[in-house]
Amino acid sequence: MEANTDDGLLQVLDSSACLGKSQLTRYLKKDLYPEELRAVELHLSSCALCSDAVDGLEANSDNDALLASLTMPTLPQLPPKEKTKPKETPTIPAPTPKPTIKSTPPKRFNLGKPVGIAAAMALIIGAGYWLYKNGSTSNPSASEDVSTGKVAEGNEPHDSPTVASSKAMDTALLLAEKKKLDYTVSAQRIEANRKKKRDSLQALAALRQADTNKPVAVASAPAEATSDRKAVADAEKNEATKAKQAITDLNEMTDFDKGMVQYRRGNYAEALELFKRPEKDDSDPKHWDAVFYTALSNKFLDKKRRARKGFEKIVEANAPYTRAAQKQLAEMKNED
Amino acid sequence: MPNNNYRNLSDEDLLHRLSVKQDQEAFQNLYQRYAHLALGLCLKYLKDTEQAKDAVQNIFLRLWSNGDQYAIRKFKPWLYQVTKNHCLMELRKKDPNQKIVAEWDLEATENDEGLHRHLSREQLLLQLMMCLRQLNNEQKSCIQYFYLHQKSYSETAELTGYEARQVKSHIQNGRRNLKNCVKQKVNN
Repeated sequence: MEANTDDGLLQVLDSSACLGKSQLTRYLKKDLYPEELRAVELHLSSCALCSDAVDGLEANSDNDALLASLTMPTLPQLPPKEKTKPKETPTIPAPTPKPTIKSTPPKRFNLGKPVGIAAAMALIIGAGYWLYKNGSTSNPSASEDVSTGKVAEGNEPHDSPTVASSKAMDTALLLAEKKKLDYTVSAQRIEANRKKKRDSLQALAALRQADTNKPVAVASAPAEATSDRKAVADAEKNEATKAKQAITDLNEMTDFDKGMVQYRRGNYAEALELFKRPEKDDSDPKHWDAVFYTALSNKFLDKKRRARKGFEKIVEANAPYTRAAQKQLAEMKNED
Repeated sequence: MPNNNYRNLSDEDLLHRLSVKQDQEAFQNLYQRYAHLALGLCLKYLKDTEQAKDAVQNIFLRLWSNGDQYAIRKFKPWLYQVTKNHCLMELRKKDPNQKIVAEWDLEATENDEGLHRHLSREQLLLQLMMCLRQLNNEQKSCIQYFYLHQKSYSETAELTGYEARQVKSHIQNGRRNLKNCVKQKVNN
């Protein structure tokens, strides 16, 4: 269950495409499957345009006819575009001004290319000179020439095998060292991220404990107060383990959950069967939910006496859903 | 380009085509995406179907004729604000004495892509849970039922005892407050 509530909470930040015409009209007619309804309502909670559109159309009796009568206007012929400066209208500022309109950048004189070519040539010449020098020190004939102070004309400097191999070895050593360094840095980064994740999970578990009002060995602090984390680490670890165990247990659907699936589909009789066990068991965590939805299911099956009894039980016990139960009782009284 | 491929273009790409190239198919696609929503929005304010239809036509014709003159970065929030302003102007024409303030609605302009880039999943959850505690009771209970317990609007109304409209409002406001709270913590 916790994995689902986490995903549910993250949906606060989600956004999705606006409603199409068909989806909108079916929503207004309450003609959507539960999954579609969920997707539409999630979108409505995040989109002012769609939400206001629903408000406006809700009051209208025949939306199909209204939307069918909305036709595209006849577009006037426009004169060819002159290059004008864009009008400064009070547009809505976007937080990240990323241009979506592709435009070719203005041509500028690029210094990079000739400078790059010159740098490459200098490098080649320098490398060649260095090779020549090194080659001449190890090459016997070259060394003779050096000792006489002469270099034979036409002799081009070249790498002897030993020089080349020592150079290759140096490069390999350098590369290996760099790899080692990179590995160390990335390992440190990975460790830091792991620690951050561990801290967040521990703080999350602590927060959840505080929310369920279970007694906690030490005071749970929000993640921001990290100074006391060492002192509460053991207690939080235990709570996290318990929480994980709870997740494992709750991964299987309970009778109540299955009952809710049937309830949402309008299969109230099947829902009642599934609600029976949690409804009878006072110690079931979903006991009062089951009592409430049993009463609602009875109401929709026109079993008003049973429904009333269920709502009254909730009110007498001052249980969760008391307010909703009182509202249901008042409605049923008005209908009688 | 055949019409089918236009469906895959973003709003901003379609807008560019219609502004710069006077592309009628691009306009048609934008119209099909948003005209029915603009109509609903106009109905909400004007409460008259013929006036609402006229308003929608005027707004889209204005987009066709002058789209290149508006520096529109994101089409949807622009459309929302322009449509609202148009309706409010129409209402003011009807009753000049009535004080109507065109609110700059930030809800339509939010860009939340940054949050997922800055924070990991666990960090986001942590921030959301902490910010949830700071909401008032009405918003907190509606948000909890709607998002955490995956209840529908009508189920949330049943469970909380609030009217459906109240539930919608509490969820929208609560969600906005949650996001602003998380953004604040990210920026600090």
